[in-house]
Amino acid sequence: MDVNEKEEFSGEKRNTSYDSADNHPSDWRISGSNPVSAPFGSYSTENLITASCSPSQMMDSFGQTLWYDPTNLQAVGYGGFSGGHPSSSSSSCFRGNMDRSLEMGWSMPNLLPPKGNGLFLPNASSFLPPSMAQLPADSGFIERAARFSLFSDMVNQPLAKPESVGLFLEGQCPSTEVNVGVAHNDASTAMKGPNVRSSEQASKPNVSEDTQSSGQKGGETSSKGFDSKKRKRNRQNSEADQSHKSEEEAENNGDKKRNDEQSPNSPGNKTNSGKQQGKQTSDPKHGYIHVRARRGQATNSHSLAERVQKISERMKFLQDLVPGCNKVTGKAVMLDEIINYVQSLQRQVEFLSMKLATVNPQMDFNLEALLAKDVRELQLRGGSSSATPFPQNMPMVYPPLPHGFMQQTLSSIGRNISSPLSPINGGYKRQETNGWEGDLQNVIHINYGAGDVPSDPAAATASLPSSNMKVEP
Amino acid sequence: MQPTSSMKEEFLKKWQMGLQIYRPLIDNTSVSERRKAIKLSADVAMASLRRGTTCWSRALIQKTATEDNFLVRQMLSGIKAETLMNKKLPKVMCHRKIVRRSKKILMRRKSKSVSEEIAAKARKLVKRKTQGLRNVVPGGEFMNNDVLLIQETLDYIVSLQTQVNVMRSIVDAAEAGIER
Repeated sequence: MDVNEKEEFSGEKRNTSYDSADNHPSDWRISGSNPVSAPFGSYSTENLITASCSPSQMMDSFGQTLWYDPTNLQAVGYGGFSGGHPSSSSSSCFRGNMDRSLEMGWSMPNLLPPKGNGLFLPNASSFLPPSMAQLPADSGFIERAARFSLFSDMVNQPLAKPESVGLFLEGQCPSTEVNVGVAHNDASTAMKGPNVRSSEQASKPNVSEDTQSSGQKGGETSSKGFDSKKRKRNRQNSEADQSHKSEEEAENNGDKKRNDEQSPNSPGNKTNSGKQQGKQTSDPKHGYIHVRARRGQATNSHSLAERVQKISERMKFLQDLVPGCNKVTGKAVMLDEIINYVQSLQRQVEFLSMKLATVNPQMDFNLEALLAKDVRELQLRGGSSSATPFPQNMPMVYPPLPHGFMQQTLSSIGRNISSPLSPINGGYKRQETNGWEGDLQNVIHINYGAGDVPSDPAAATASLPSSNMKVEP
Repeated sequence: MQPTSSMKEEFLKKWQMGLQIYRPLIDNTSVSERRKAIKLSADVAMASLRRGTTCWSRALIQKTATEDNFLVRQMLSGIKAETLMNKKLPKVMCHRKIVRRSKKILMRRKSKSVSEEIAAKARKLVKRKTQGLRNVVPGGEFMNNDVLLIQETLDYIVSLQTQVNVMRSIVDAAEAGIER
């Protein structure tokens, strides 16, 4: 019921001041349904607040700032609360403590999300003891609070649907902007929260552990009690650190990826990065300037160098993979080669699938039978051929299927396949040197001539199956 | 890292599995339909090798899902990656034109020396190439992180090589079969 109330509340608030993408409402709602720890009798307070007019005005402003946060996030749990502008409203409707806290919290114009926090918490505390210290120590709440406070960055940055990139990038994409607690799934990891802010009230003992500690997974949700003044400095540091650490994490993730299929930490990063697309530099409107690094880049020279180093490492691997890249130097040329290579591989796949479609109308890819024939043929021919060099127009490396593989399939067949030997080599060469188009023509020719194979030695030679060559280990 | 034989075998099995789905519909007589069926099942098989750990594999699965949902669902039924299919492809949220415009404005204010300009041009070139790479690699538009992009490209290339190798072997075997 609390959730429902909250959702309703969020909904109407949303209509008033929200200017971001439409899909947010749904996200807010969804996230609104996240269970918030019990101490938030705040939900009921929301209703109370809506009743009164002055609070509503503040609510609006809060809501506005909240909704600037583009991302899904659980922070929406606070959404119903619709954090507000410091300047407006406030005091009148709230009781003394809250007013004080709110004012202090809002003295800085840019304390948007944290205000939400501050507002929220005091609000709750209006029913509870007003001191911040009394805030529920629920870890889930802490995480959410921290995550929520991260949104300040996203003010004025309407972004896309949260589910958008996040889902897609879940698996792997590390993002430098870990800070934003986008990671719904990974509350703890999302909490790399240097960005946790809070109202000045910061009677909280565990203040600013956040910013410096950032990059650690699931670690430091320092959450409450932060000094707003530290925020600016910490933020910049944390961003640099985060980008640095997230890079490392990304790398580690990437390395692990081949082996493991788990990427628990990345989902947070991913969704975050997804949302942050296109995010650029600082927003001078706010009191502080936090230079948000563009996604995938770092502002700090140190992390920049690390990034470059990582990139060059990977480029080296690519050099080994892409044939003919050993001699070229320089990123642009290498990238060009890589692009060409990938495109040629894709074209080959297309071509081969076309060839397969024509060669085998029944699509009866009885592999074992096919391979068995190959093996037999290979054995019969005694491995004579195979020496034909690859044609020049095939840039890719083409290691043939290993014998072991074929033996395996062969044994599973138990079928006796007799195949007439056909002289192959010369025909194959001819076929290959025609290039792709010639190959296709030959294939089609073969198909038509399939019925006549025994009686048409010319066709047999022309249609040189190159399998023998290829299956050489 | 070259394609290993185990990778090839796995790919082959998965591909066969996918092709089995098309077997009953054998009366899709047009060559292009068959080709499409072959290619799609090969793509899904290749992508499923990675079990959803890489960005490009997920993108590829989703792309083929838009073309043939049934196939993807069948092929991935055994894997948890089936859930990937339900996710929509995210739209590219970066309003590049706006970004570019703002960048141009920023650049105008700076005055540069010749060497700086050269460096800037080189950087631009590299950026253009990386953009080109993003267009080629599936799901590349969502990898704004350069490191990630190159990593994915690496993996993608290896998988592509596997795919091409296996397909080529099959083609050759099929041709050999026909020839006899």
